[in-house]
Amino acid sequence: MSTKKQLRIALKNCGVIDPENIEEYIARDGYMAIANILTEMTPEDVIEELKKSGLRGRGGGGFPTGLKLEFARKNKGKKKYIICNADEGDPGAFMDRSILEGDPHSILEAMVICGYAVGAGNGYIYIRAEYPLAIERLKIAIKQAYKYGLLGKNILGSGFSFDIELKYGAGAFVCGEETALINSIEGNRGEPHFKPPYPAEKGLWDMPTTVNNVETLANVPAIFNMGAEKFASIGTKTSKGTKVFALAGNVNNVGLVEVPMGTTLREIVFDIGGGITGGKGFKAVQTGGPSGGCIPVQFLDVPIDYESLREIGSMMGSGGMIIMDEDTCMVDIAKYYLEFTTDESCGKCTACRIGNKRLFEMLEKITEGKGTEEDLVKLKELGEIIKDTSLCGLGQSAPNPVLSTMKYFYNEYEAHVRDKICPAGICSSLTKFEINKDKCIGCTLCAKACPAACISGKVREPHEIDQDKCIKCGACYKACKFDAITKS
Amino acid sequence: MKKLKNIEELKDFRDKCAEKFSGPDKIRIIVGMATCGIAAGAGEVFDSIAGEVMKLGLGDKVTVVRSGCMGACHAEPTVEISIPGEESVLYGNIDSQRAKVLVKNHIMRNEVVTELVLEKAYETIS
Amino acid sequence: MCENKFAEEKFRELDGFIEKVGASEGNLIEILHKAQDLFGYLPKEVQLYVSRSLGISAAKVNGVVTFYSYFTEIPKGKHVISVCMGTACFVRGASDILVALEKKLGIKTGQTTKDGKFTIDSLRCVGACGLAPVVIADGKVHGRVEVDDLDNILVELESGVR
Ligand SMILES: Cc1cc2nc3c(=O)[nH]c(=O)nc-3n(C[C@H](O)[C@H](O)[C@H](O)COP(=O)(O)O)c2cc1C
Ligand code: SF4
Ligand code: SF4
Ligand code: SF4
Ligand code: FES
Repeated sequence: MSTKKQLRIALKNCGVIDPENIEEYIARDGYMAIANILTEMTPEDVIEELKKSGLRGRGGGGFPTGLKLEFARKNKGKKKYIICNADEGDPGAFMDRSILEGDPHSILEAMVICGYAVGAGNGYIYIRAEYPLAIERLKIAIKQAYKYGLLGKNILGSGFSFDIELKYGAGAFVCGEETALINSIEGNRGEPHFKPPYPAEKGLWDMPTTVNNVETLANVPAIFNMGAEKFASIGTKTSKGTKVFALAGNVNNVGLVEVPMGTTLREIVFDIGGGITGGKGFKAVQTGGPSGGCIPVQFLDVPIDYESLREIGSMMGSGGMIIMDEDTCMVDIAKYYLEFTTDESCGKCTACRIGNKRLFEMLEKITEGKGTEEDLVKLKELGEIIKDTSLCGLGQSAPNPVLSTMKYFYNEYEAHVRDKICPAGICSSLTKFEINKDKCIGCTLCAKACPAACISGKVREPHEIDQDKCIKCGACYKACKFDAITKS
Repeated sequence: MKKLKNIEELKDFRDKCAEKFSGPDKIRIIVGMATCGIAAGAGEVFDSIAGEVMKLGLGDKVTVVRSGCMGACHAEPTVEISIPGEESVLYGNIDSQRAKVLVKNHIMRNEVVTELVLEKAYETIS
Repeated sequence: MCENKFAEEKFRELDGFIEKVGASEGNLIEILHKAQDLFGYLPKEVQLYVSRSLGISAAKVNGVVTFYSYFTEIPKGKHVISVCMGTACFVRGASDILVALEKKLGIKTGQTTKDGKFTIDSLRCVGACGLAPVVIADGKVHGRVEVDDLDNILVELESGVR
């Protein structure tokens, strides 16, 4: 067996305990962190310990968690709030869902700890409605925690009280942004507002508020149980502890992995992920979701942390990691993300609303073989403008997928524009499926596979594709066992 | 259960729970039942295991547990068997038929079903 | 008439829910979720009803309904087939599946067939990325779907009616 590359802190109970039974969590030292804190530590001690641990936000920004709590503690307000951001909008990422489904009590415990540190008595978990199982398990966990006196009034006889309520998202990616999220909890359209003021000054109902990501919170009780020094001894100089990634796409071992900061992409993709499906070649890793970028093969050995990923044009993001094989068209991928961000833009600022739409249209033109060299120049210029002039993180980072693919895969853009070909054979306007009459033995498999019913031919005679009706789905190409169908 | 009133009560309760779940004669069969596991059929696997355990009269020794995601989404449904004093074993691609084989071979005869084993590629911090 | 009676019952249930969670603006989204659960969609009269119950303007309610993609103002077909277009599914060929499904049913994503039987939807990541590409047919998750599987899925849906 190979040496173990993964280290579990945030996921330590996931897949081990029964999440619907608080006794199993308690059996593994659950709620001991908050118990110790309430009996032995002042709120200032708690903040100091978190600062010492070096924990930074896992929701994308990487802001030091201890510092965030300190701001909220120092700002004055009649009430204060702790919010857990469980909106997990990055499509193809499922770290937070897995933690909530597998270890919901760790999030509740962490929120009580944060509440004590900040001096807040109320917490909200903002969770997307698309996660019914996570919602169900959270509800059960909250109920049990109240029953055992680990939530509610006078927790463990300490005099400290804390309540937690669930709030539901309704399918808007931008609501993952903290100021938009707060608007949404208040029952409004989830539009972001300009920062400052930060939530730590003026958040929910204008009171000091901290917004923390699920995975960030999952680390909190663990830090107090193992000690801040030990946590800080894991990882790189700037990034401590571990990071959970949702490994997906064209990789053999799709799944949830947790590795120490500083692990290389190669270790994740090949050692843990088991390499590319179907023995194909590796092309890129996408991190950071719609805000991130595509990382090409030459950076596979970079030890990953917040800073190194930014340097190579991507970002840590929340932990979605999509592996792409050689058959992936990078222009198509950029278009995919732009379609997503255009769709999800709240429309408040022009640069994001109109600018990203223009980017998308240009990419569409290019994938249809109608792009010009001028478009390539404009793509880049406009991308930079949008980055500089958008109000929130969504707009500011939306051009990243385009800019990073242009940086590393410019030849693919050129091929689409200059030679009107899609090297990966993905862009359907630029692809054509044809049957090679010499190789076709007339087995009819392709005709059966074709969803558009556009392949004709008699049994044992060469078949033919009606190009006008073909939807370029490639089903025939996959079906033919005689290599008689060509894709160009 | 009444509310825990202080840290001592929590500690006592923790020790009681720990004993309940991990005594020397407590075998655990864990079925990964997060969204992806359930979509891949973990519900049927759970029922099949629970049924087999009952049928073979193992109810006192074996606890069948629904857990969250074990991380091996590519091989759902996944099942982990842990017998006290032995390294726990993670199995992948289990269906209700294979589930019964696991109970018979691994629990009854103490034979690991090697062809279904997945490598457990992580350590957990203590 | 029968329909009306059903509607009345639903409004009553909605009333009960509003009373339970509290008729405040902060609970608007939760209340709309419940209303959509009950009615299947959020027609004008339901939106007006909610606005009156909470004492907020109809424009505000409509603003919220139109902002969030989870809420819909048009009724859906008897069966809803959603193709996951999350990144994990996308790189594993989800768009081919969507295109093929659109061709098969002769409608675009978001539309409903004339006979009111099928609606095609696309959604983003249901968290079953390990099984990509994923299609959700009336709530049931189908994993590792290929274009060829669509016929079976449709047949399964239709036979479920009878
Ligand atoms: C468009 C956009 C979407 C975001 N989506 C999420 C999300 O889904 N989950 C999350 O935790 N943070 C998300 N964030 C980051 C939050 O604004 C915020 O920084 C984070 O919740 C803070 O928690 P942390 O410090 O623990 O990372 C998003 C930010 C932007 C700009
Ligand atoms: S950048 Fe986009 S999403 Fe953000 S506030 Fe502006 S329009 Fe809305
Ligand atoms: S690509 Fe698809 S639609 Fe076109 S001929 Fe082949 S199977 Fe038919
Ligand atoms: S599957 Fe291949 S060999 Fe068979 S009829 Fe089609 S093209 Fe010819
Ligand atoms: S991207 Fe389709 S289930 Fe996650």
